[in-house]
Amino acid sequence: MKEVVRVEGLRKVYGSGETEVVALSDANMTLREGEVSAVLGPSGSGKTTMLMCLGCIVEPTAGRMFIGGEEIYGDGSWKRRDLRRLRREKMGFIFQSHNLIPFLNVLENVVIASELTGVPRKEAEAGAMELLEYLEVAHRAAKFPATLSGGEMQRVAIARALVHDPSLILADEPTAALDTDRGKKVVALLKNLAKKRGVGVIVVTHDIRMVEGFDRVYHMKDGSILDE
Amino acid sequence: MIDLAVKDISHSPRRFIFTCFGIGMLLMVVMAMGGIYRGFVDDATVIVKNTGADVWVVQKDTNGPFAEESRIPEDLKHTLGVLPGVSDTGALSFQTIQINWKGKPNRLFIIGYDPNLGLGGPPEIIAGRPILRRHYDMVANFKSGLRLGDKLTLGQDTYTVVGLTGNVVSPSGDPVIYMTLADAQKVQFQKNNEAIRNDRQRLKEELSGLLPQGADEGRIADALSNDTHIVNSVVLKVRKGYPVSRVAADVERWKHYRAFTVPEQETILTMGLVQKAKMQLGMFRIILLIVSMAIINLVIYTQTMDKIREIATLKLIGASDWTIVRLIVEQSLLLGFFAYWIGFAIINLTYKYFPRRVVLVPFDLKALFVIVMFICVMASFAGVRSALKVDPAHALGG
Repeated sequence: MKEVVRVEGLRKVYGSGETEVVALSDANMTLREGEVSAVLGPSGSGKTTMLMCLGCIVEPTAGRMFIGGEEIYGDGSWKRRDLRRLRREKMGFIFQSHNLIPFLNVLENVVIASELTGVPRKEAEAGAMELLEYLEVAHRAAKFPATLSGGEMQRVAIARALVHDPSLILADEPTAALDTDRGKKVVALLKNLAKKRGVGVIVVTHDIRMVEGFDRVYHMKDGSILDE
Repeated sequence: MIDLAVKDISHSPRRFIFTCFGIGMLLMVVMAMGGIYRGFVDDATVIVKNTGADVWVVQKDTNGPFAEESRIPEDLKHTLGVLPGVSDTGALSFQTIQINWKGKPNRLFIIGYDPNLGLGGPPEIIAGRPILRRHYDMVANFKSGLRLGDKLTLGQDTYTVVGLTGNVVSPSGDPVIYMTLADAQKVQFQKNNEAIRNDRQRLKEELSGLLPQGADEGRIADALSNDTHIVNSVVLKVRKGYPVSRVAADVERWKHYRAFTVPEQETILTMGLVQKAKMQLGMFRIILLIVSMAIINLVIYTQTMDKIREIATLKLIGASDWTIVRLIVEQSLLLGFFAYWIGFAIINLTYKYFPRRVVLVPFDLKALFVIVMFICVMASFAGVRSALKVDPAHALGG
C-alpha cells in the first residue's frame, strides 16, 4: 500500500529562552492508504500539535515530513498558499465540535469542500449526495446544522472531509461531543470508509475506548510518542 | 462557488435588514441635503432664467438687484433700447413682503413688469389668465397659498389673483407674485397721505431760496415727492448674433450703469447667496457619510468577529484568502447597495413634503452611489484584516 504520511524526528518548540515549550519531540510516524491510526494521550501531551503539524497548520521546528511522498517544507520554498492548496486537495478534517458552517445547509456544507478544489457545482452536489446517502443523512440535505443531532452533524462533517477524495483525513477528537454508542459508530464508520476509499486516517483522541481495532495506536506523553 | 455572503445574510436577515434601513435613512438625509442645495441654486437663479433677458442693468457700483439694493429710473429702458444690438427691453421691480394670510404669516416676492414689453413676466400660466389690465391684477405662484379670485390688499389698493403660475421663487425661496410695473411701483414706493403731506412740506422748505423767483415750489415739491417711476433693474434682450458682452460693455462705458450678463448674474447669486448654505450642507453630507462609514465598519467588523470559527474552518479546509475577503467585502457592498436604494426610495417618496425645494439631480445620485460603494469597500477593511489574521488552528479544539 502507498505511503500517505511519514514523519521523521518531528519537533515543535513554542517560544524561546525561558518561555520555551517543547510541544513535540522527535516524533516518528508512518501511515498508509486504508490505514486508521490513533494518536492517544492526555491533555497537553502534544496530540493537537502533532495534528497541526500533519495538517500543515504550524511549521515544525525540526524534522522531516512527507505527504504523498512529497517532502513538505523541505527546501524552504513552501508558501502559505501552497500549504492551503495541499490541505484543500489532499486532506480532510473532522473536528471535535463538527465546525459545520451554520449558514449553509447540510448539502452546501459538503459541497463547499468539493467546490474549493474546483469541482463544478452539479458534479460536487452529486458527489455530496452520494456520500450523504451512504452516511444516512441525505434526508437532511436541505436542513441547517442547528436542526441536526450531534451524530448527524458528525456524519455531515465526515462527508465534508471525504467529498473531495483526499488521501489523508485528520480527525481531532471526533467523538468527544458524542455519547459512547454514537462515538463508536462514528469510529466504525471512519474505519469502513478508510478501507473502502483507501484513505489514511489519523484520529487524535484522549478516549482509549474509541481506539479498538485501529491499525496503529501512538501513545503520547509530554510531547513524545512513547510507544506504538 | 457557493455565495457565502448571500447565504449568511439570507440565513439570518433581520440584523442585515435593520442595518440597511438605518444606513438607508442616513443616506436619505445625505440625498436630501444634496437636493436642498440644488434647490437653493435653482431657486437663486430661477428668476434670472425665467426673465428671458441677456443683460441686467442695475445701479452703478452695486451687485443688484438681488444681492444688493439697486434703484434706477424707469425711463432708462428707452435710452438703453436704442443701443446697438438691443432688440427688447423691460423694466423690473422686486420687493419682498410679508402678509398675514388666513391667520398665518406668508412671505411673498413681488415682481413688477410691463405686460406690454416681452421681458420679465410669468413663464407660464397654469390656471386662470395672464395680466391683461394695467391695474389690480396679479398672477401668483401656485405654491404661494393664494388661489384664483383671492383678493389681497397691499398699500392703499386691493389686487385680485387672476392667474397662477408654476413654482417660481425668489433667490431666498419665497413664492413670487407678478403685478404690473405700475402697481408694483405703487406698492413699493407710494407713501401714505400723511407721509406725502410731510414730505411735500419738507421739500418745499428745502427748495425755498434755491429756486428762481416765480417758480412754483409747491408743484415742484409735489412732483418730486410723488415720483414712483423707479425700478430695480432694466433688462435687455440682445439681437441674435450680436455679442452680449459688447452690449454690457457699452452700457457700462456710455451710460454709467452696471451691466451683468446672465452668467455673471447667476454667479453673483450662486456664489454670494448660496455659498454658505452650500458649504454648510456639504459639511453635513461629509459628516453623515463618515457616520455611515463608521456604522458599516462596525457592523461588518462585528459580523466578522461572530464568524471567526467559520472563517478558521474555511481556511483549514483550504479556502483561499480571496474566498474569505469576498465574503466580507460582498456583505459590506450588499449592505451599502440595499441601504442606498432604501434611502433613494424614501427620498423619492418624501421630497415633495420638504419645506424647501429639493431638486434630485441624477448625476448627484449616481455619484453618491459610487461614493457609498467606495465607502463600503473601505469600511470592510477592518473586518478583512481581522479575518485574514485568523489562525486556521482556531477551528481545532472544543
